[in-house]
Amino acid sequence: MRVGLIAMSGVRVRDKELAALGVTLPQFVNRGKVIATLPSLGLLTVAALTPDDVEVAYREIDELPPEGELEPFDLVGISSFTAMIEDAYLLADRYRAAGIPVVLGGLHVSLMPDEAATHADAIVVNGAEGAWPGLIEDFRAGRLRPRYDGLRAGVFEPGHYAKPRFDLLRDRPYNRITVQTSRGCPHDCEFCAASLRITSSYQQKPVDLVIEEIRTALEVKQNIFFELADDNTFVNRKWSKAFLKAVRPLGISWFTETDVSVAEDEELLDLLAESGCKQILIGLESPNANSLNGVDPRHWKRRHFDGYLGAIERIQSRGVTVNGCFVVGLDGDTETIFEKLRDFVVESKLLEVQVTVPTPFPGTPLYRRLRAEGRLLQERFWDRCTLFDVNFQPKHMSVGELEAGLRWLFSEIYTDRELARRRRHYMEIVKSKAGPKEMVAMQ
Amino acid sequence: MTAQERIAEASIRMTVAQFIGQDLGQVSETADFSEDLGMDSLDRLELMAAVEKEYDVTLSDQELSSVSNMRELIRALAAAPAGRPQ
Repeated sequence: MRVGLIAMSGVRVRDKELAALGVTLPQFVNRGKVIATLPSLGLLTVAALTPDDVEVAYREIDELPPEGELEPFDLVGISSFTAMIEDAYLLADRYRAAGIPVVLGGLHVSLMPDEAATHADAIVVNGAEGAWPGLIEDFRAGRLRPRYDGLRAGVFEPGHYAKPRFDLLRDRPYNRITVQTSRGCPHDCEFCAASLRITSSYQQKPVDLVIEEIRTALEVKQNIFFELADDNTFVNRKWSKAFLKAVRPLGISWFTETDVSVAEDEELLDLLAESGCKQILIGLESPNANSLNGVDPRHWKRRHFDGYLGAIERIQSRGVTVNGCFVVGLDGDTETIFEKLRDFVVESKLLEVQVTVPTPFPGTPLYRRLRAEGRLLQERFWDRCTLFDVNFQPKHMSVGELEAGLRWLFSEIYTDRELARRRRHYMEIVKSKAGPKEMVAMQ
Repeated sequence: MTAQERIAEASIRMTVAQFIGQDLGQVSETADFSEDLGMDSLDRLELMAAVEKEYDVTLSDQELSSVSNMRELIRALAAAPAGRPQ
């Protein structure tokens, strides 16, 4: 039996003007390129959950034969995000028309199961843990069911956890590998369409399992950069420090996402820098305190707003860069938000900045609210869920004003001069941290 | 090339080799920092910071974004007057 696992990731900005602008703005496209070239950790985990006597082939969508040809498999599993889901459905339809059964999974499928089911012989909702082994067994017995519900808790516990098949990446041109240490996030932001939507509570992988995964990945790819596929890594301080101490001797470079509270713990920050962490991505969301009202149910981000500038300075002074993420077009935003954000970026000396518009991913509280308020521009717009395309009516500006403001902001914060200023600031931090010999030894 | 320039070049080569954790003989002068040596954008900036501090120079913004291998770095450093920002 041969199973084909097909990864479909990445986004394509639909706004042609913005896309054209993005081509000339390196920092704008860099993060998108990185995301698009990451292997699918979900499918590597599915591969690990597959019985040993089943042959597994991992494919990126770009590796598939041209239109008209289909690589022969006994069963196909496809995972995709919302922006690519229409393409995933087309591919699934092609395989099914050729008589090859298809299983669809991933975040979009979990949030829109009824829609996805019309393009699949079976769907997997939530994580694959607790679902995929039974699905394979049923398929072999000729009794495949239309829906399998994976676990929403206990996914890293013995009996359910499976170490991702990093060996499937051997001889492939990836320069980053993803490792997951947690699923979910306690903040539950209204617009978030990440792993918290498929978990019942924050799930933390034991440190020894994470370290073992990193060691295994290093056997496959030496000197690889690691990207933690987490939504908020450092929720649990005790776990975080144990993890950072354990990862330090491995000598790797890595990136992750977390929240601004890490800056409240000096020991954690020191460990972060010593462990090889190069950058943390933080959803700061807005330079305007009032715009943060209602972003999360407990107003956590609003309550931490006053500490933003100090937190960025404390983190970056360790040589760990902050990728500050902002959303423009929140309900508290007026047309002044663009200039305000430009000024905040300059004042904060953020080393990297990512600006997007609120995106009502289907299945999120934001989608439900905007739909109830009659503010969605279209009923179905999945291919426009790129984070840069406006799909809703903003509260205090027109759609055109939001689009124009975003373009203006990009042309202000991603200029060569601004990029040079950020580069120079980072270099001065690095130079102030250690003597030249020590800097060389850091590598 | 004068003896002094050759010594300076060898010193720079050694700094780069140490930074990327490879033996001096393994690092080609034309090996691309990103494509061949696997350095990301932050690695490159850390390397530039290391050589700026080591040789007491300041590279220009243009050089920071364009230098892509050891040969270009050596040329940029050779053209930068020691101890004086560009």
